[in-house]
Amino acid sequence: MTLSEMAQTVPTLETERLTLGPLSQDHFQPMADFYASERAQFVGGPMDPEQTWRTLALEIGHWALRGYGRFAVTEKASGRMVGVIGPWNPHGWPEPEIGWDLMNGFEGKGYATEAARAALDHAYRDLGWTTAISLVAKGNEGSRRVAERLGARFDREFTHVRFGLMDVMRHAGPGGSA
Amino acid sequence: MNALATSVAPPMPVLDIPVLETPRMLLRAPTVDDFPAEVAFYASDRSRGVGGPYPIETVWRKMCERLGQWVLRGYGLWSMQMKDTGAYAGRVGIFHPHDWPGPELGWAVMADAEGKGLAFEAAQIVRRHVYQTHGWTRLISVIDPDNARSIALAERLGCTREPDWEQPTEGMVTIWLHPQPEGQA
Repeated sequence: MTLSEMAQTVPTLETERLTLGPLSQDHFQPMADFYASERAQFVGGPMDPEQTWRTLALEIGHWALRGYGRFAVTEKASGRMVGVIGPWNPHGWPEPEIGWDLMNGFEGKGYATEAARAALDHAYRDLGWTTAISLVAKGNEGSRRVAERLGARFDREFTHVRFGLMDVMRHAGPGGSA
Repeated sequence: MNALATSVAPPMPVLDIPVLETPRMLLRAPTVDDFPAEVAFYASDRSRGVGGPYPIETVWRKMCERLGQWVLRGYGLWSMQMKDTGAYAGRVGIFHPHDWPGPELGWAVMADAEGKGLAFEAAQIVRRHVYQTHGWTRLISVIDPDNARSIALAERLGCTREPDWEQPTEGMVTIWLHPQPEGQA
């Protein structure tokens, strides 16, 4: 597959207020602002622009190695990037998850929940997942509320080699089964 | 598939990374098949010159980063594959993350492929290719000051030393300027 075909391979998902599409260099600055802030403390930050650029490359490379990955989430009304959300399964993860990072200034609108629900549907419908989790770092109350709003329940704890202790939140299955 | 992958992957997309040929190697797109050798490399002291040693999960992320750079920049690193045995010998190509002092020609050779001049052979082909493809007139290599083998290779490639650079996470590194396109070996 060519680079342009890869961009076409990343599906575009739509929700009422949001579009989920391929990540590109265009998304570097909002990600750099987010990762430079204290809000990134639960997802490996804060980090400098250099590390953020590598993180952007990592997100895109995940698509190449796994065939799926997280999306750039854009606000339809403004065209602005509001988050990096979608299926995520790097080596060392306990199992595939739906992950969400909300960019600075877009909290409190329900965007993470709206985009993550579309990503969860996509994982069940298009990727054939039969179960899905989300990992929430200890103390990340905002993220835990998103998981709960999506209907996920605490499943167990998991200790990552670099990120430490996290809660495994398990979503309802494809047919709504627990 | 290798046993180290955490889950069954769907058919893997391959980026439009050109295949280059050297007398003894094919330079091709990285794949998950290269992962076990990369894990062994980054578990060893041989990786000290390139930021290691790293745990397995970080090696996987580094592979993703290198693939993602192909999408973000349109160029990147190739895997070196021996023509005769098919074995993975290492990687060579252009490393150019954000805030880097320009496109860098980099290389890393696996332990059992060392001492055969493979990095020299591959680096010459890559250098010719990127000069022709991208029209660059400036190409550098960034080398840890303790990495004597890589410094020797840079000199063999005709590089000249430039002022050192204080890299924020890796500390002081040496900068080597490659010959211009018309002056290369």
